[in-house]
Amino acid sequence: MAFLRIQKNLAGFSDAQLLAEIRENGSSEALGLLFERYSHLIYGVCLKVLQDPEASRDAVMDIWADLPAKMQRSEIQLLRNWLWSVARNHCLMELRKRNKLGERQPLGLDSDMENPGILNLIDKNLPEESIEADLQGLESCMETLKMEQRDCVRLFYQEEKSYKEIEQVMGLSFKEVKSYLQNGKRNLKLCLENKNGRAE
Amino acid sequence: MAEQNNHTMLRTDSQPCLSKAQLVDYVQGTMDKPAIRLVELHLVDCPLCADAIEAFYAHGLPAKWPEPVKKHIAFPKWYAAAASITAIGVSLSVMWGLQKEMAHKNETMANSADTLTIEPEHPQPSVLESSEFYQTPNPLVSASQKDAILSGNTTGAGVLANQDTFNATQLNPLAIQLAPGNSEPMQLNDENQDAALREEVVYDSVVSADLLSLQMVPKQNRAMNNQVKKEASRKVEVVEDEKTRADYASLYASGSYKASLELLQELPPSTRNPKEWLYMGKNLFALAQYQEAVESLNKVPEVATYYAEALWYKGLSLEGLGKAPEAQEVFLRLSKLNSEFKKEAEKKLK
Repeated sequence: MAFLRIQKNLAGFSDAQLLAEIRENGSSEALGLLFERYSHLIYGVCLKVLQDPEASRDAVMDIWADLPAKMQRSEIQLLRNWLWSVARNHCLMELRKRNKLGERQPLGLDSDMENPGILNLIDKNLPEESIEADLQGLESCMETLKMEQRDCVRLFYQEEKSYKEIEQVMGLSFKEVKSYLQNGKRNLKLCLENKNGRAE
Repeated sequence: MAEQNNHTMLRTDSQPCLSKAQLVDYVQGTMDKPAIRLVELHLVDCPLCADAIEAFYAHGLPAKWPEPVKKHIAFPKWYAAAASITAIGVSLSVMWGLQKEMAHKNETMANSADTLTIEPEHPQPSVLESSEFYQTPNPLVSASQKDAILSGNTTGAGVLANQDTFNATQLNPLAIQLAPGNSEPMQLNDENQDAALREEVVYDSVVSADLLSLQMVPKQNRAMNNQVKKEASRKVEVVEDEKTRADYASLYASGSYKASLELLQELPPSTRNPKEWLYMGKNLFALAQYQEAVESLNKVPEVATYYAEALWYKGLSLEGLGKAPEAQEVFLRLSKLNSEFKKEAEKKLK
């Protein structure tokens, strides 16, 4: 019964609490719960990079086997971004290994996502609360965005269109809408942070 | 209003990542609009979910998801040594006990063989099968063995003093199986025994003709074996399914449209993803089955990465059907989409 009680409590834990359980007690239950929450998403990330379901499944297992050790030595602010970063790096390493072995590299990489600058921006997990103070500068920052980014951001946030609707209106694919929105919002944050920095 | 929306845009994303069920609902388009909004607000801030969805749009949802592997527990080495010694000890004890029991039963049976009868009203095999263990039919004792036992020329454990007469069915359910419908008490003699042994009764895969062995096959093991077989069969199906999903594109690329189409047709329609519908359409178009091609291409949803390509082949298929106005409509629509088929569509419109 005590075992069941522990299981029940852990199931309600947040990511940060589960992470603490793993770090402090080496809890395999906590690791199992994180697997339930994230393994399908990590598999998706691997599938995008490796373009191979079997290799992606193997990659998920490899990533998961190394995870407790990595969790101990990494500073993790937001688990999902960290996991994305770990999964992506692992799969890119796999691709490099394959290339060394003479295998053809699959074409599953976005040009924008390969940009290391953008990868760093995501990993930084910039504090969004600080951005909220500066709504005045938002409109001017919107004008600094690339046309597609600006249009996607306006359609998504101001007109509350879905991805599907934006795809239809702008004739874009899901991938493009996703990239324009992510990069648009990120650039907006950077612009606002710069403005705040100057004001201070 | 604009300010409110800006607040919405800038609020910190606190949505948890998509569960497997949510992800499947979203990709399959079975999610309701408010839920889609929440998911998409999350997608903007979550590269993990966004990349996963993008991959599943491109490759379809997997037939098999990653499954957790039970963590190996590393015991100290002395644990393993102690466990091994205990296991050997237990095995030896069990073997010695079985051997002793066997010798006792054989001896008892030999002593009572001349007078043993089988009552017709004794339990039938189905009743016996309901017991926890399937007992291998006890070997029928031949006259020569009986003599050997009676003369004290036995192997294994010693002969027990107690030689009570007992019912043959307790020892040998197969003896009843071998004499169906026999209403008369059957004399268990050498002739009957030989006839019984000649019958091809498949009692279990482990039935042994070894007269001095007593094999026990736990019922659970039998169920487990069936489960293992089913699991193996399922795995083969999954592998076949993945092979199918991987090969149709290369077959199409090599011009083997019929083979590619056959592979795709093996997939149940409800499991086909947008890419597979597209390739079905392309194959059908290449095989000049235009109407079927249009039907398949209509299954590619507008959100799919392959939508523009599907429109292109749909337009060509409609041309093949002689439906020029409808084809023009499709090309017009395609020309408004920002895709690699835009220029081709515009050429068709000229």
